[in-house]
Amino acid sequence: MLSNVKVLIVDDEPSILMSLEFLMKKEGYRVFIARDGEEAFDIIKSEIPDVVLLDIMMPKVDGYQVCQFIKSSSEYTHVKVIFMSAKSKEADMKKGLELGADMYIFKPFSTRDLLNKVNTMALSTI
Amino acid sequence: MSSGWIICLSLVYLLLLFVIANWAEHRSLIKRSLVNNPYVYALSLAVYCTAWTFYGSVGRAAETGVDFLSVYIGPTLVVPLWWIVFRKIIRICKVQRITNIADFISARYGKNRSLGVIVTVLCLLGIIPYISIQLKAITSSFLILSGETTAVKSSFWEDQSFYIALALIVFAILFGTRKLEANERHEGLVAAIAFESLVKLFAFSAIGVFVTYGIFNGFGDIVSRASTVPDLRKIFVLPEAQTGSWFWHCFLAAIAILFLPRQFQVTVVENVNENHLRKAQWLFPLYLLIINIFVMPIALGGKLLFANSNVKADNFLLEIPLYFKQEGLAFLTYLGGFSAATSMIIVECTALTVMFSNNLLMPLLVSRPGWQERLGQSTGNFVITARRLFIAVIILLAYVYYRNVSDRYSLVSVGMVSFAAVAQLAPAAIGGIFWKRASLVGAIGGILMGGLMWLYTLIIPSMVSNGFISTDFLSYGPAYIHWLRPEALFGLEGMDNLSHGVFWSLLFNVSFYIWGSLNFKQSASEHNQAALFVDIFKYDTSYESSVAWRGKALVSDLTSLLGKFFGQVRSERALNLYARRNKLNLKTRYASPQLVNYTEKMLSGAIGAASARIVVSSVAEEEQITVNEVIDILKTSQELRLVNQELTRKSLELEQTTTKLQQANELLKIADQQKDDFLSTVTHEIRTPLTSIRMLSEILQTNPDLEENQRSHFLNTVIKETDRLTRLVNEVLDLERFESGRYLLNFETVQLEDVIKESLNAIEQLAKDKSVKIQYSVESTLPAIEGDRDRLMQVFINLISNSIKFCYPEIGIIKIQVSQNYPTVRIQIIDNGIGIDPQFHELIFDKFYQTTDQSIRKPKGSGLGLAITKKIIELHQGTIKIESKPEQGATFTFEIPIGQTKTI
Amino acid sequence: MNSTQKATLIVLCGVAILLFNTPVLSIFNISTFVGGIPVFYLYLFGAWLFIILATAWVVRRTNNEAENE
Repeated sequence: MLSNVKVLIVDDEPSILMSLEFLMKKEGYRVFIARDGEEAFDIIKSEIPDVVLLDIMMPKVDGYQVCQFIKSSSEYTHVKVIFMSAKSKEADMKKGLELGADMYIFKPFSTRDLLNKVNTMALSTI
Repeated sequence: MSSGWIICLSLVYLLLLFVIANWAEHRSLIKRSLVNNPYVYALSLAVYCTAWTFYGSVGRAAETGVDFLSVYIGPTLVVPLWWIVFRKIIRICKVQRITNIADFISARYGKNRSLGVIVTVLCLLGIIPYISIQLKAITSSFLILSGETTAVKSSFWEDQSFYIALALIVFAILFGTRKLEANERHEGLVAAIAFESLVKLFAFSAIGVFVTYGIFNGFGDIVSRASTVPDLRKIFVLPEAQTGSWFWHCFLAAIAILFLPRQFQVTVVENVNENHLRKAQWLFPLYLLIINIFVMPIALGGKLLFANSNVKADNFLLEIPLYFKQEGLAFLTYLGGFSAATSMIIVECTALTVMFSNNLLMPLLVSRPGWQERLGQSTGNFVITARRLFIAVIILLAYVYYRNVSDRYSLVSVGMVSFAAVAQLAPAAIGGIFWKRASLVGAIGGILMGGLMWLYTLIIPSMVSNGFISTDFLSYGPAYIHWLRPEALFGLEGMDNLSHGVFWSLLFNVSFYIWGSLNFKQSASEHNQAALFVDIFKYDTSYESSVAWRGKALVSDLTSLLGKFFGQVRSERALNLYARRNKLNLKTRYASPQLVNYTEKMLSGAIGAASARIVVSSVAEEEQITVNEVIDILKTSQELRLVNQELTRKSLELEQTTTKLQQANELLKIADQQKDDFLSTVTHEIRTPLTSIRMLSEILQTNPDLEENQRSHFLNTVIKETDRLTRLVNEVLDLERFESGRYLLNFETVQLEDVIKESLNAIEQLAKDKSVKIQYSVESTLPAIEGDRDRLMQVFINLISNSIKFCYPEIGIIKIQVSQNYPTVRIQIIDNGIGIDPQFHELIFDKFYQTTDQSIRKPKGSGLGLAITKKIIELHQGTIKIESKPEQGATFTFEIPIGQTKTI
Repeated sequence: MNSTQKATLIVLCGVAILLFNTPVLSIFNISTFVGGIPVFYLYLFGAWLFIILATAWVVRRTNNEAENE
C-alpha cells in the first residue's frame, strides 16, 4: 500500500514545501519534510525514505550533495531521487542525472504530472 | 756632497722617471693602463705643489706665519664644485678634442684666432716667471747641497743654473713632445708626475719628522719654545691687516687650480675617466693638507736654530739637515724639491707648447699654402720640431727672467703674480660654460683689460724695483698723475700689492666681459659653440654624428691633408676606421659632411681648433651655414633620438593596448557571464513563486472540498507569492533603468528628516510584526540636500527593512543617525541583528549575491534591494559601505553630497 | 649625481668660504694654545679636514654612468 511508501520532500521554500506536503499526504504517502540538506540527511538516515523530492538550490547543503549521499551508499540503493529545480539549463539537468538521480523535473510543474511520476516510482519500490 | 755626485744622482733620478714613463706607456699599449685609476689621477693633480710649495711655504711661514696656507686652502674651497665645473669642462674637451686652456676659450667664442693668441700670450707672460722660480729653487738647492756659495755668476757659462736649464730643456723635450696629436693622453708623463708627487710627499714628511721629533720633542715642544721669542709669537695668528690679503690669496689659488695651464693639462686633458674626478675631488686636497702639516714646525725650528745667522727661510729645508750633518736626508730633501720643480716644468712646458703651436704656429703656417706645399709630407715633423724649439725658448726665457728678476723676490710672491695672470682667464672660461650669451667681444675685452691691469699693477712695480723704471713712477704716478700710481690705482690704498692688483684686474676684466657680452651680438659660429658648451650634456651624443659644417670636399683632398700631419698610413687607417664605424663610403668622389667634420676634429687635436678650420676650408668649399641651420641639425639629431624614443614608447603603448584589450575582453567575458548568471537567477527567482502559485491553484481546483481555513491559507499564499513576483519584476526593471542610465533622478530640495519619517510610516507594519524598535536622530543644523525624494525613500525603506529582516524579534533595535560631514551628509543605519561576515561585505551589494555562495542564508525578497540602493546612492554621487561582524549587528553608512548639481 | 647632491656640494662650497674668511676666521684668530698647539692652527686644519671629508662623503656614491644633465 502507498501508506507504506515514505516520501521525503526537501525544499527551502515554505510555500512549495507546504503544497507538496498536502499533495503527497492526500495521495496517501507517509510524508517527511526537510527545509535544507542537513535536515534531509537526518531524515534519510533515520527513516530511509523510498522517494525523495529534492530541490537543488538550498542553503548549507545543496540538492546535489544530498543526491550524492544517497546514491553513494549501498544502504539506500532502492531510494528513488527526483530533482525539482528552477534551474532550467541542460547542464544542470545533466549534472543531476550523472549524480544518479532517477528523474529531473523543471519548476513550475503540473501537479498531476508530478503525482503520476511519483506514483510510478512508488509502485516500483513496493 | 760634491756637485759631481749630485749631478750624477739627479741624472739617475731622471732616468728612473723615463723608465717609469716608458713602462706606463707600454702598459697603455697592451691595454693595461697604469694611470687609469683615480689614485694616480689624484697624485698627478699634485703637480700643483711645485718647488714653491716645497721650499717657499717654509720660507713664507717663517716670514709671515699662517698666510702660506691660503694657497692650499683656496683650492679646497672650490673642491666641492669640481664635479659640477670640471666634469663639464672635461666633457666639452673630450667631445671637441680640445687640448689646452687657450683652445678651450677660443673654441667657446667661435674658434676665434685672436682670442687664442691673446690667451696664449697671457699664459706665457704669466707662466715664465713661474718656471723661473723652479729654476731658482733647483739651482739654490743644488748650491746649498754642494756647499757652494755664490748663486748668480757673471757669465752664464760659469753659471750652474744655465746648465740646469739646458738639462731641463732636453728632459722636457724628451718627455713632452713625443707625439704629434696632442690630445692623445700622455700616460707616461702622468705616471712620472704621480711618482714625483709621491717623492715630494715622502721627502717633505721625512724632513718634517726629523725636525719635529728628531731635533725637537714634537709639535708642543717647538711651539712652546717659539712662543718665548716675541718675534715668532706673531706667527701663530693672522695679523688683522692680513685678513684682506688672506681672502685674495685664497681666491687666487681657487682660480689657479682650475686654469693654470699645467692643472688644465693634468685635470682635463689627461683625464681618462670622468669618474676619477670623484675620488680626486677629496684625495687631492687631502694631499695638500698632509704636505702642509710639517711646514710650521720646520719654519719655527729653523728660526730657532738659525736665530743668529742669516740663513734664508726658503732654504731651511736643506740647511737644517746639513747643520746636523744628515747628508742622506739633505739629499732626499733635495730630491723632493727637484721632483716638485721638474714635474711642474715638464707639464707646464707640454701645456704651453701645445698652446703655442695651436694658436700661434699653426694658424701662421696654414694660412700660407705656399709654406705647406714646401713642407709637403714633412709637415708633421716640422710641427714637432717647432714645438721642441719652443720648449727650449720657454725655459731659456725663464732662465733670463731668473737671472734678472726673480732672484730678488721670494718664491711665493713670484708665484702669486703668475696666479694673478691666469686668474684673468676665469671669467671668460667659467662664464663660457654657464652663460650662453657671453660673446667674443666680451671675452677679448675682459681678458685684454684684465691682462693690462695685471701688467700695470703687478709687473710694472716689479720692474721698478729692478731699476728698469724710475721709482718716481711708483711714488707719483706716470707723468705725476697721482691717481694712476700702479700700487694705489684710483687712490685705492691700504691693500697689499697683490690684492690690489688682483682686485683691479679682475674688476676690469669682469666688467668688460659682461658689458661686451650684453652689447655685442654673437656670430653664427659663436652662437653654435655657446650652445654646445653650455648644454654639453644635452648635445654630446649627437655632436659626434652631427654636422656643424657643410662643406664640399674631395675625399682625396682630405686624405692627403691628414697625411701631411699624421703620415699616410696612419691617416688612412683612421679614416677607414671612422668610415666603417659610421657606415660611410670612402670610394665616392666627394666626402660626406660627416667626414669633413671628422677630418677637422682630428686635425684640431693636432693643430688646434682655429687652424684646423682654416686648413680644412682650404680644401673644402664651405657653404655658409647659418645659426638656424646648425641648431636645426643639432635638433634633427636630437629629434631622431626623440623619434626613436617615441617609437619605442609607441610600441610599448601598443603592447599595453593589447594587454588592455585582452583585459577588456576578459571583462566582457566576465560581464557576459554575469549577465548569464543574472538571467538564470532572475528566472530562478521567478519560477520559484510560480511553482507555488501553480501548485496551489491546481490543489484548489482539484480539491473543491477543502476546509475553509486551509483554503484561505492557500489563497493567501498565492496572493503573497504573486506580490513577490510583482515586486521582483519591478525591481529588475528599476535596476535595469538605473544601470543603463536611462533613469533620470528627479532632483528637488529634500529635507532628509521628512524622508525618514515617511519611510518609517511605510515600514511601520513590518517593524511591528517583528517587534523591532526603530530610533532616529537628526542633527538640528542639517542642511537640505538636492536629491530625488522617492528614490531616497526607496533607499531608506530598503535599508531599514533589510535591517529588520536580520534583527531578532522583540530585542531588535535599529538606530538611524543623520549628521553633517561637510561636504556631505552622512546617514547611518545601525542594527543589532545577526550581522554579516566581513568576507561578504563586498558581495552583498551585488545583484543576487547569494548565487555565488550558497551557504549564505538567502535574504527574503529578491536579493536586488541592496544593489538598487547602492545604484541610487551612486546616482546621487554618494557612497555606501557596511561595517559588520557576525552576531554583532551591522552598520550601513552612506553619504550624499550636500551641494548636488542637478545635471546628472 | 642627483640635484640634491649637487645642491649639497654648492652649499658645502659656501660653508667652506664662510669658514675660511672673516668674520668666522677671526673668532679663532687668537693666540691661545690647546695641548701646546695654537688654536688658530687647529682650527684651520680641522675645518680643512672637515671640508675634505664632507666632500668625500657627498660624492661617495655618485654614478656617472647614464647620467646626463
